[in-house]
Amino acid sequence: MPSDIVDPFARDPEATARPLRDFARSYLRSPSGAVGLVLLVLIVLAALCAPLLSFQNPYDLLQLDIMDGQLPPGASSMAAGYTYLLGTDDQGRDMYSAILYGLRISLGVGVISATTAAVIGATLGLIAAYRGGRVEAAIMRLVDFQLSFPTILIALMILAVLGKGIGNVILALVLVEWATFARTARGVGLVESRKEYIEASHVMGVPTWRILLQHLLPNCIPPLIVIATVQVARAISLEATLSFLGVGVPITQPSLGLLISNGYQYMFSGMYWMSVFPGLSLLVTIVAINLVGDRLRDVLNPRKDS
Amino acid sequence: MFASILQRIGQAVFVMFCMTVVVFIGMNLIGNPIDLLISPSATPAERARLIAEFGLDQPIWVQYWRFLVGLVHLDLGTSYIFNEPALRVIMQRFPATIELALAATFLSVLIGVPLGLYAGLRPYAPLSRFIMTGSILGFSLPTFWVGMMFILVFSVQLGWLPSGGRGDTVTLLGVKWSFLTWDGLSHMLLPALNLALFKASLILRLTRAGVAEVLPQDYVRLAHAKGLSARRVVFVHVLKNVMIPVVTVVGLEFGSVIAFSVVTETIFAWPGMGKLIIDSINNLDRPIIVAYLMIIVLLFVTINLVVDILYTVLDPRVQFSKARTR
Amino acid sequence: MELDRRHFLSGLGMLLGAGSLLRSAPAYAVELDGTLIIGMSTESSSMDPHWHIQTANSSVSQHLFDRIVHMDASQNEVPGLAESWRNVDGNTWEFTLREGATFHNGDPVTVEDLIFSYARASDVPGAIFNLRAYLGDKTFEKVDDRTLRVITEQPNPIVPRELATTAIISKKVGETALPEDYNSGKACIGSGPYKFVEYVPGQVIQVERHDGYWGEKPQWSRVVFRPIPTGGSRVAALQSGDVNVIDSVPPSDVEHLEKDAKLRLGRGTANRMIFLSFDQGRDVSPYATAKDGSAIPNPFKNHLVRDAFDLAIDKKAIAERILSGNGAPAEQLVPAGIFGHNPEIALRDADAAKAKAMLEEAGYPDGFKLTLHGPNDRFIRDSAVLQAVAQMLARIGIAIEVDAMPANIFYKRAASGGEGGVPEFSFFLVGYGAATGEVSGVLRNLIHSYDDASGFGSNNRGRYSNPDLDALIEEGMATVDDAKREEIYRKCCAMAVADLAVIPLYYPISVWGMQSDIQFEGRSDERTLAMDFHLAG
Repeated sequence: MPSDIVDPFARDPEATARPLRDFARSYLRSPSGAVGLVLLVLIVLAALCAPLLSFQNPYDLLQLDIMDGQLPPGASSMAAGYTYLLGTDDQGRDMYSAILYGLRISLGVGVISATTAAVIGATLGLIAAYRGGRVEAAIMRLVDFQLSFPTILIALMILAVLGKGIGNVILALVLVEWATFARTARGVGLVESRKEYIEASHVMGVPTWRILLQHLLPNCIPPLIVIATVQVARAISLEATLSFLGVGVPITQPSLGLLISNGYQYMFSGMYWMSVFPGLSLLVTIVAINLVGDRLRDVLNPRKDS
Repeated sequence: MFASILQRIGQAVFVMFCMTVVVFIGMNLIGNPIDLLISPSATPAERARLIAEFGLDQPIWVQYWRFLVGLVHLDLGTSYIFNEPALRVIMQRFPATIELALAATFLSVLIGVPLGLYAGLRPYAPLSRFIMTGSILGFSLPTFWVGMMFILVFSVQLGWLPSGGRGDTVTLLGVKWSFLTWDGLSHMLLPALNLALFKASLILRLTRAGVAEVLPQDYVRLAHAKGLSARRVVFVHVLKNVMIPVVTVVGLEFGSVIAFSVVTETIFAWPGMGKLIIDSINNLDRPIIVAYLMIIVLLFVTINLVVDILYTVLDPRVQFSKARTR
Repeated sequence: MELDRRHFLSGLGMLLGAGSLLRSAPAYAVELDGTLIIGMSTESSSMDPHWHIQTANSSVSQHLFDRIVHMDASQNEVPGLAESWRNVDGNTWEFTLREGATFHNGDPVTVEDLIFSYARASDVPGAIFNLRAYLGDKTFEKVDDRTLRVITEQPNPIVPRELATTAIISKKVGETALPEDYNSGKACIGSGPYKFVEYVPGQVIQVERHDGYWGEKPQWSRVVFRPIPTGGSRVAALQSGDVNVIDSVPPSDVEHLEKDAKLRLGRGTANRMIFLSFDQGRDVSPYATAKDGSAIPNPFKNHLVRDAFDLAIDKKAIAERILSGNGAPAEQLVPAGIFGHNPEIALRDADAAKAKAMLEEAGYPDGFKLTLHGPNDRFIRDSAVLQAVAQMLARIGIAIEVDAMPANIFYKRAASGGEGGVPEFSFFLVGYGAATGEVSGVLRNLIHSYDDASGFGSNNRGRYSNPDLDALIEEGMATVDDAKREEIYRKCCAMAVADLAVIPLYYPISVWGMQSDIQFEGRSDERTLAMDFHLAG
């Protein structure tokens, strides 16, 4: 084995002991990471407090009036007597309120699905890498199996069996995403589990779950965070795509993605606000998530400091 | 290695078997093509006759058994929509998708690797920060929206490139290709870029992450100290290590580019398999869906095999056969 | 391109870093005897003219294949391969074949070809949307070399219209043809104004002018059909000059294309009606419940409730605000111009306050809970229409939810998703087209009571039933005299509307976009035919 090849994802085992305070301090050393964090906190707060910040409950049909539809930003309502800061969509939905509410759904869908997928995927990937043999073959065939299914087919099947809804969209996204995590975790785990210290722990009779949890998992964290960051963003835009294809969240409760896809047909007519403002909100959200993810990865990688 | 490849093929067959079962059950739950397509003037008797003609009145296992019998005769069924054998319908559209996917993958590597390398080698340069921000944009925006923007800007506003379709094709080896004509290339550029954007960002980030991991390592420092040229260090030592995750992703993503070209193909009216599968799902054209998925599974198994072989080549510590048998 | 540049720049410029957006697109001009390129919203699924009879397939096949009777732009019968026809007695019709009509291979069109075509059209294995509904009750006989006799089981006044659906193919070619020979062009031999050149599925269909055509010569020597399913892309292709004509201009684009001096629009009110249907058959309807979710007797059996719903829904607002002119508010079962349309039925003005009072009178002062079902990929802006309807019903106190789903799931459930294989939904949005250009199909399949044995009411998913109306419909269908029949059908329409068998919502308006040097007045059967397009001026 050539001595100059070192595994890119290996990390110093002592780093696990680093206290939280040091972690926070080193995280905040990067301005872009800090900005991302602030933005993300603001966005999450805005999403959580949507009912307090908005003029209208865009999900309450009684508060909508199609006669107020397609108004440009700054127009005032014919019926309700307030100003539509960002205009309205074809249903007379205040875009500003709809974006706040949509943010909630998009964020929720993205985070929940990516987290669930990461947990499931990493677990299975590590088990595959560590156990090898039939277990590995079975899991990796499952990965192939899953990856061979187009997202929309899974979504359509779930839709047919369970009916439409946010929960089912999340389920579909988890089913679509877990395999990527599993593959990555296995890839890293495969390299790691051949290392002598793992062999040694094994010989010393350390239980399997401890080896997986204490030695393999921490080594997989940095690449998994890279993937997870990408996947949260991806989940959000995947949800938008599902909505675009007509199998996403319910039309009366639009997510950011559904707002964009509803609005895009007005794009050519110059009614840019229906699609551009949700698009920008989506963009800012995802950029913030990614800035945080980027910084986290840098911090979690101890060799940066040494 | 050959035994292992055989084993893989066996697994692939098993996967395909499972998948066809899932599709049969799933399609059965979703609906039937008769209710969707039947003439609104048809009588209930005509509806019953059609359902019987397609064998859709039979229990699902009987339908599945018939499918298996057909399979033995290399017959994947006849499309409900196109009145042609499912396999032929797919194969007619296969080259268009493969071509688009190859172009997209090529573009994403072309964009992703050099930019990622640069950003990794000069992490604090302003250009690197710009690249990294750009990469975030790359996978932030939904594909369909970017596609629409491309059309709006490059076709409608600037009039530089056509808005959709495949353009002129040239027949080579019995297959129609776009990349051999200017017109074809100009039709391909926007959809390929649209499809490549996400992958390019992913590759860019992985490359940069890899470089950042490798650079501070002792062996790289040693190589520098030994007086090896910077170019040699980067291209031999750094790039080689960086290529492991990149190859995995390129390989994996190639399959998903094919599977998920659905949206791009729909927006750009690209007559490939992705658009076909969406239409087939919408029309509940089960023979096409089953055949399409079998081909995709085959493709994925092949891709995974190739990725694993490349893994072994790039990282000698992972031994192909041992990795599987332990 | 008339896009509002200020809005465009302020909005998109922010996002993209504004570039130079000022160059306008080049356009390929059309010329006499040149090529016409048509962007189609739907892909043609086969070149076999007797395969699924969907609009896209029929549009293309009309170029290659004649019928014995043709339909003009407003679906009146005009001579096709038959130069004349007459009703001998109620059950017998005779058609006189035109002289000098030839197939693309030079063979003359004979009565044998007609009889062969009708036999084949009713027996194409695997054809789901087939022609049996129009051919099933008929037998065909050759009287002499130029006369075809058609005998029906019952008196049938619409034989010419029904035969206008079926393409005439050559017996010599058709007898030995395999299904794939139509797509390859080998068997694609008709007598129409255009000849087959190329068919690449999903990509392009090309036809060229048939110089031996018996009728008026079309102005274009070659026609290219390109499927462009996404609305925005289709509009973009027209604006950038990639295509000369597009069908199905999306509602959101109508307004700004209208302002574009380089383009022109053509419109035709489709023969279809989009409507809301109530479950009127079951005693308890699963999606109409008390507000706490407990079962209540089916409210839609009460005429007052149906009336209140009809009054609450502002059809004009939906047509204007949601469909932006791509739909006309519907007051009855078919739009004006279709045989059987009753000019005395007027559109009601919506009145939410009165509707609420009626609901109260019917015993629902607080409304009830209801799910409105509908497809989200079948009709123009269907999911937006569903939401708008829900908004309006929410105003009269109905706790309404909208469940929009893809058509492939919707239609199975709408037809047989309920307990025991009955239609599942309580209140839902669907459409029905008067394909023959007159109202009898709508009355027979949609309004007549559901009857398994006779096949009447096959599309009556709400199971509305009125025996008096049934009798009147059956009487009309057997009346050969046009004036008398029209009288009966008008009465049927009035009864169905008064009874609120369904709530007619709107008639879709098909909008075509084309370069300004092309002229086209629109059709009611939604077909896009190169023969209808002419050079302007």
